[in-house]
Amino acid sequence: MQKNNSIELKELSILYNDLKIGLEAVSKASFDVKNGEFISIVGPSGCGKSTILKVISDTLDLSYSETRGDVKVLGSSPKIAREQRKIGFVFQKPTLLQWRNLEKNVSLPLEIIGLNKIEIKKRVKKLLKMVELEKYASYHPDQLSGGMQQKVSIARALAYDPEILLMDEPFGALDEINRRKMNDELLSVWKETGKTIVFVTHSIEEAIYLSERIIVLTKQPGRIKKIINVDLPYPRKNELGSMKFYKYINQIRLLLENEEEIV
Amino acid sequence: MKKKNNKILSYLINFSLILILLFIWEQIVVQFEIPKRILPKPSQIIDYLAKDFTSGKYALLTKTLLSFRDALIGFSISVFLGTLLGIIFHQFKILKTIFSPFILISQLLPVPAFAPVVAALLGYGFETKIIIIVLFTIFPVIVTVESTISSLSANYFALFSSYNAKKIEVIKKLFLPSILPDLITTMKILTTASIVTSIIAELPLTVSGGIGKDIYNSFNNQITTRVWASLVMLCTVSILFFKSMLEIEKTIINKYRYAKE
Ligand SMILES: Nc1ncnc2c1ncn2[C@@H]1O[C@H](COP(=O)(O)OP(=O)(O)O)[C@@H](O)[C@H]1O
Ligand SMILES: [Mg+2]
Repeated sequence: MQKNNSIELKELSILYNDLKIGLEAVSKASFDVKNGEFISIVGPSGCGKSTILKVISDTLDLSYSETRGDVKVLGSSPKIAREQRKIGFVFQKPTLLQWRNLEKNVSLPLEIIGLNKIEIKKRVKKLLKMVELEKYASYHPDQLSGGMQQKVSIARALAYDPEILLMDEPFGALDEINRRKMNDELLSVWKETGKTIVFVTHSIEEAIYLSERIIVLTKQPGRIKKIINVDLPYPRKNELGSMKFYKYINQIRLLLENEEEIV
Repeated sequence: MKKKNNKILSYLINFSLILILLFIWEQIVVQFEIPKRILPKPSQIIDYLAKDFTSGKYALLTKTLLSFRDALIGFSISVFLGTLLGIIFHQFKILKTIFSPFILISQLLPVPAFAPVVAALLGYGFETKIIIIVLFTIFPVIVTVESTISSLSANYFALFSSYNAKKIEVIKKLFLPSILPDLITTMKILTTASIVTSIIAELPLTVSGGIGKDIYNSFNNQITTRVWASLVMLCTVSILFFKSMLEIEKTIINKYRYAKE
């Protein structure tokens, strides 16, 4: 394992065997994620993006799946990384506990870790401030918009200061304008915290807007089609309409479309 | 404000309706000269109850409360034990597979009717009474708890797993709060079930002091007015029990902002 790599995948294959016929979700995927890198995974739906994140976070149910190949997270197995709480997860749905207010939702992991109350309060306050929700600390999830809820779940994932943030289509349910806003806020969180972020999306534009590199997967079973370096300066607001940005979109679209033609 | 007025109005209508029905009942008994042992007049029943209270003996009240106490004990054991078993069943699916047929059967059987058989097996005392109540009320709790936990999104499990949370934390912070609304709905249904079972279970048992036994004895001695008076007491307690569960439900749903259905 290289020292400056957060995550290393070597020939990772994942098989679901809970159905009558086994289903290969991911096939021989190899890639590295550098420390502090923002990397995106794009690919058609069902190509195994979520499955890859589950393997990295060691949350795949082993009773009906089989993994081959090698995965290293911060130099050790995903299990050890999980037990050391090195990984924060943000799902497509905010997955908040509706009976807890925002403050209590963000403090959930800290309570489980066993931090003292004063320290929890301090940290939660800081986190809510970071996602600009400090005014809503006593609100319950059902009183917030989807975007706000997702910000809470990001704050919650950052609460215990994991080194890696895995995000599975976190803004997939948002409208265009809110999604852009959330993208900018996520980038500022990334700048502020220096976390390694693995971001799954099916929006090509979003991937280009956010990431330093983009992994393009083929359709199921997901294989790596290409890894693209996004050579655009941050912030990319001004790049949105640029020729270069458009070229990236086209390149990735072609990669994804070619796939359809083969079949 | 308007809502409140509506509520008062509907109470008034309900109340008047009951009064009218009681009046009709009274008139029918008088007009057709129905004997007291077949159908007493409402006024006689009220009279009977009043005497029970003013005499300072509170016999009917005491007996009703005793039956209610036992119902409450059985009910509480069912809720606690049933929740525990529901969680265990979720944890060990094999147990669920083994016990599901028995649970299904027990749901179909009128357990209170089996009271004499159970009594013959386990004795005629207080414990048997509680066991019968628990047997009749615990399974809906187990099923509710198990199925509610099973229907939780896998993401919640992944979330707690990524915190490396201990099982007890998952139970405390995820399972129990998640099952609460459904559990309370089940508990509401079980209020009446536990009281009914408490009453019926008294018949074959030797435990005395309950209203069930009293109703049975009064009936055998053709003291129909006392039977009716007992029933009034019993209904009142039953309704109050249910109403208090409703209040608890309202408080919890509002306090924790559970999605209202
Ligand atoms: N528990 C499971 N059992 C069987 N197949 C599954 C399971 N979960 C996902 N799959 C299948 O694995 C493939 C990849 O799924 P997923 O990783 O969720 O795709 P993506 O996130 O890229 O949309 C899909 O074909 C999906 O149907
Ligand atoms: Mg997915």
